[in-house]
Amino acid sequence: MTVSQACQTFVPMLSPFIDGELPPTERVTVERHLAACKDCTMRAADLRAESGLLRVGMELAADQVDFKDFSQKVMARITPERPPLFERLKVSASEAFLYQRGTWVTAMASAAVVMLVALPFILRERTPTGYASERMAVQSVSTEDAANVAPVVFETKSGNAIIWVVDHPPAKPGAKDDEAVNEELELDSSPSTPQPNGGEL
Amino acid sequence: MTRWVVVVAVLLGGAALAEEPKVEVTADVIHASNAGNASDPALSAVKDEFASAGFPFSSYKRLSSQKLPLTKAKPAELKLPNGKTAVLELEDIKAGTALVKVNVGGTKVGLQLGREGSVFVGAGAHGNGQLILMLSPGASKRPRRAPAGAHPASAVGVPARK
Repeated sequence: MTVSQACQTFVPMLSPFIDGELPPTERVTVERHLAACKDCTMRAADLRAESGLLRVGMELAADQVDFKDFSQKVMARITPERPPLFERLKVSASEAFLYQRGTWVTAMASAAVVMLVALPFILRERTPTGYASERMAVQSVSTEDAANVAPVVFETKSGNAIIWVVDHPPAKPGAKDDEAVNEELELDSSPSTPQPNGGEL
Repeated sequence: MTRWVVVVAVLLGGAALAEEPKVEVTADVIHASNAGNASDPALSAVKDEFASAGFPFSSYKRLSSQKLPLTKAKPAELKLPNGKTAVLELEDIKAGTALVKVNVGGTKVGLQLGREGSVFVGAGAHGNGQLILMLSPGASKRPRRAPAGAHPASAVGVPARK
């Protein structure tokens, strides 16, 4: 069928006219032309028949397809590969901090306070109180005047200290201290005086 | 919730700061004599120490051992078998080091606590020998043995006799 010059403008508009896609003004123009043009009217009827056949065919084809789990199958095909764990954790953390900032700040502040309180107790267990110095050491030694003893301090080769007390009788009244000591030493050295036998100094 | 956590934390911190300092000292009472050669094997290091210092005891026996907690407010008393009493008092803690005053039957010793070593204080006669009060760190570390070939130690403090 040859297309007249007047119909060349309207032939491309017939298909959207059939599908109802033309704006109102163009639809009215096409209807006026169809009312006056037998060829375009026949063309429009052919287009309607084709459209109807296509619709029936598609419906028959769709009836034969099982659309059960359709959405899951589609999503499975479009879901991207699972990112690495580190990436997922990073995204989770950033989103959590972004959308739950208040909760995070509260939790971190509470944890910091608990650590500040617990840290002294933890550290205390490692370094016993009072034992910052490496070795035990004697700072001073003295005796009470009435005790009549004198302290003697020995340092052993391994660095430990032995504090021993020896009898130190008071000086006899009226005698010099040296004489009293000499008398004592003489008494100690006389053969009749029993010598200390272990256990005594 | 945060407010309560802060309140509890402040209270606990205050309690921790306000707690009085306490130190522990291990006090062993040892009986040394020349009655026989039987010695507690655990005291072999003590025997070596005393032998190196010129003390000729042949027998060492541990009569008691206990950890004494010391605070400034509460000194510890240790009754000895010979009727004497050893009093240990925490004098101060300076730069983490405790200074303890020990009084054994009239003998007063100012002691600086340390992580190693021991101090032996003669506590007088008892039975056929002598009592020795051995003060060690709270972890009950035994004194180190004197190296082989040790000679009698020289006295580091001898009161001048007039």
